[in-house]
Amino acid sequence: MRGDWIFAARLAFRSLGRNRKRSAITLAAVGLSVAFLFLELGFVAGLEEQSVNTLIDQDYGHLKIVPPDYDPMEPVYDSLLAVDDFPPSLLDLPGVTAAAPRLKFPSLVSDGLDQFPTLGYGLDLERDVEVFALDQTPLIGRFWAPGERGIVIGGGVAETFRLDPDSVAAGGVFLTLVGRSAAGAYGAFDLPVLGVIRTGYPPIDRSGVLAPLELAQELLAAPGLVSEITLRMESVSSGDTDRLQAAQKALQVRLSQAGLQAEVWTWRELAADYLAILNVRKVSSNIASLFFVLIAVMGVANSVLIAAFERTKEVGMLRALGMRSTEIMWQFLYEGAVLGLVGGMIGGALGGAAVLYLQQVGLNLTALYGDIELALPIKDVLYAHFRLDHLLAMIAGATLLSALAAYFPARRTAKLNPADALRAK
Amino acid sequence: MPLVELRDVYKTFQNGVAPVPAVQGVSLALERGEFAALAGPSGSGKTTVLNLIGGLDRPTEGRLFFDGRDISELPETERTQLRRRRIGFIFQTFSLIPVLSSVENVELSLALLGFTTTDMRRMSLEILEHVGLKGLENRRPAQLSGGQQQRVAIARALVKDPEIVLADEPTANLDHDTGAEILDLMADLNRTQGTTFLFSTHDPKVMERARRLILLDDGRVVSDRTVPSRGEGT
Repeated sequence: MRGDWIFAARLAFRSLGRNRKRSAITLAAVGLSVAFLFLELGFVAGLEEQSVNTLIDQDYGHLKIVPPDYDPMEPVYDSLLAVDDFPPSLLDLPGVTAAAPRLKFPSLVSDGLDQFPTLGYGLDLERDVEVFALDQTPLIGRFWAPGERGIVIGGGVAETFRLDPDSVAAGGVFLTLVGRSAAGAYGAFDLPVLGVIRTGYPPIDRSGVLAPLELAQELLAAPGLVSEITLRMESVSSGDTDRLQAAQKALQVRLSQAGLQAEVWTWRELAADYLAILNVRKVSSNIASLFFVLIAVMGVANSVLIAAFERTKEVGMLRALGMRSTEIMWQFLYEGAVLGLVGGMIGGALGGAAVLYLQQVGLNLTALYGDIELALPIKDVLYAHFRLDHLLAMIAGATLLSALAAYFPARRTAKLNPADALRAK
Repeated sequence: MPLVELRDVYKTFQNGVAPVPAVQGVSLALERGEFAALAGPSGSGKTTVLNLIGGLDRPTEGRLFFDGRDISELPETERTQLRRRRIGFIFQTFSLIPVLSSVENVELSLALLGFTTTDMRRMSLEILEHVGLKGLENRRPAQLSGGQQQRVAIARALVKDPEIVLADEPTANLDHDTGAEILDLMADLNRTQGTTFLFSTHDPKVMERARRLILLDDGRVVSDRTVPSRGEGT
């Protein structure tokens, strides 16, 4: 094996030891910026993953069948679907594991003194838990038993009526649920509040009222009607758009062939606004983190610049030995790259450990922000998400950026006249 | 054909706006196998002449030949090649790389020539043994005495088997006895391997060891004579 490259690499690594304090400070700057950036990316990835999971698990499923005039940005729930038009055989597509109907409806809730607008969710609980994750969601109290009439309210609704969840769970709390039929007739039921739920999904938590599907249909005088049918697919990752779109297309074709006036939406289409908010957050936090990276890169440039000044005479000696100016430049670039690589690995180890820890333990947002809502579909505890590809990309990025940072000092040194360099003090 | 020949060479440096002549019309020829000293007081132009011969600097005027080839106007890349393959340098301050061991400092010369790691190690260990540093191969410069460091520098210059070694005040940073040992070593290598040595000095005791003494003063050759008696450095 040719020795020149190995020799250059060895010299670059050893040069870290020439001025240990300076190297340590530069490595710390690179390491901390990489660790901070990885932690930040870990939280953003965690935020994205949790948000997407919450959206899918609480409301969007993977595919949703809705009436043709459905607008996910401003749903009005005027048109409804006849649930019998969508038998299981129609929805039995490859990859689809379950389907559940929901009847969403604008509603009012009153305690006799005050009344507030809410969003009603009529649920077929038995089928609903096949698609959604209400059964795995923190609930104080309980859901209704089969045939029981009662409601479960979002945490925000409980707060609006100053209801203590524990006393709700103990029973004896009643609210009046008001809904309006398609013909314009109002219906109202006095119903026991059976539980208070916190899903992490803002529409349910802030203003959701969950009720048995038959009860909701009775309230709206809409027997056999639902506002949507949601489908769950097996092993669809958040980035798996191809499979999702293929299933959407296939289902749409089936519905058309059956002569049904209905549209199929994917969760991505439904979640467009949330995903846009997430993207804005991602970009803004990345920009903030870039400043840390820039500071670290300036540290590398400074370190190489000082090293190049200090070693002018050595550069003269290397030129006398026959090292080309480009080889001198590469030597300093390697040294910059080594600072980035070692700093990146230290930062990767620190950041990686922190992210792995916070992936297990999470960060309690309530403790950090109090009761301020973040307008994102996440629960109280945010879990970081470890991504090896991010970690490797950041170490590679730190190496490359540090080599680039070393370019100007390296080029300046490489251009020195050998005799002038040897004469340097 | 002489190995090195200078024909009426001038070198002038620019100090601000004032030109400073360092070498003024030097002509000399150096044959293969010579063991010659460039002597003279500080500022007499010794280092500049060595730098010109080594292709580290270009003459302002005059011609400079290496092995019959005019190198006065040679492009930088070709002068680098010349230094890399055919010329060895030894410096007053040893100029070893502090973070490399003795053997690695020697290997540096070979790394530039594209040797394999195995060959580099073998050849470097051999030359270190030859200059009397067996057992000290893995020590870093800071763990060596001045004389030992200069021996490493000699090994680094010689390992690539150059045609000429240019040594700029190689004993100036050493005590008398150590300096004498270094000169003995250089003379021995000159005698046994036939390597041409040209070294600068302003120390009369060192001048006595050369077989040829070229005296410089104010950038001019004022005397150039062969020293027949003690020239073998014994």
